[in-house]
Amino acid sequence: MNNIHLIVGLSQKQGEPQWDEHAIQITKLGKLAAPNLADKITDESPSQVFELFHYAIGDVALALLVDIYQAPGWPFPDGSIQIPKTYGDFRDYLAFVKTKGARERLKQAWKIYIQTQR
Amino acid sequence: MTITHISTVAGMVSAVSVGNVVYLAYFGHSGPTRGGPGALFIGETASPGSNLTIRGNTNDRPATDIPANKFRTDAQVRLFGCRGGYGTDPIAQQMADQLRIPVYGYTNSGGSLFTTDSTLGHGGRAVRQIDINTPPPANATNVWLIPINGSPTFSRF
Repeated sequence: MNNIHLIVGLSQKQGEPQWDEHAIQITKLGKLAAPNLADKITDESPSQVFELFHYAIGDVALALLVDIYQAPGWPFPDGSIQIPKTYGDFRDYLAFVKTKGARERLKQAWKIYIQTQR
Repeated sequence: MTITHISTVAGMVSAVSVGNVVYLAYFGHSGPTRGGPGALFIGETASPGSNLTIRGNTNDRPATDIPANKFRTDAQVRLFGCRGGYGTDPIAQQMADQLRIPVYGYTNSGGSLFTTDSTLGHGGRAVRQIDINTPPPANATNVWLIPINGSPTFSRF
């Protein structure tokens, strides 16, 4: 997890393995990495990842959690909360995480989900 | 000019099977695979035939599926996606080997962003922070997809 800031790219579709060596190292840890990754969801500092938008560290952490768990919902893992759909693409997620408290809500939802998936 | 939405390699094959193709532009996801060759990630979800690559996994189809005889000898292909020409055995090279025509892909190592700046879109300058901070508005026309790092390097394979 300490090397999350070294990740330069993420797999671009669900089910496709990570190709960045640092992302591979983290996802190899599987659920062991999950609590630390969930804590980082609120980290808004910039990462090195740019796939249509500049990922914050928190966005990279979320992407890795999604990879590890293949959860039924996104970005809230159990699908019980849906983010507003204005664009129908990644811009909806960006608009959502910019709202007050959004990242914290997301973090808490993932922490609960991680507990249920032990 | 025909614009076709595709989700599979079969969709691409069907689209070019009209024949006499002079220009094929792909807009979508692409890039390296884990420890392996590059790919076009045509379909958004993991499903059979959704990736164009020589890799050989369940959801992959090779560039040899694309009928070379449907392209004119003076045709070209341009891949507007991340890292289409980057890394070991990039997808641009795989397609060039099959189609025997020029295939252009970005060799920049970074992901991509959208821009309405024509100078940047045509590789006339390098990306600046303001380009990253200022995505195009939803109703923008004349939008380019370019690599985030450095000057867009559209290399020929």
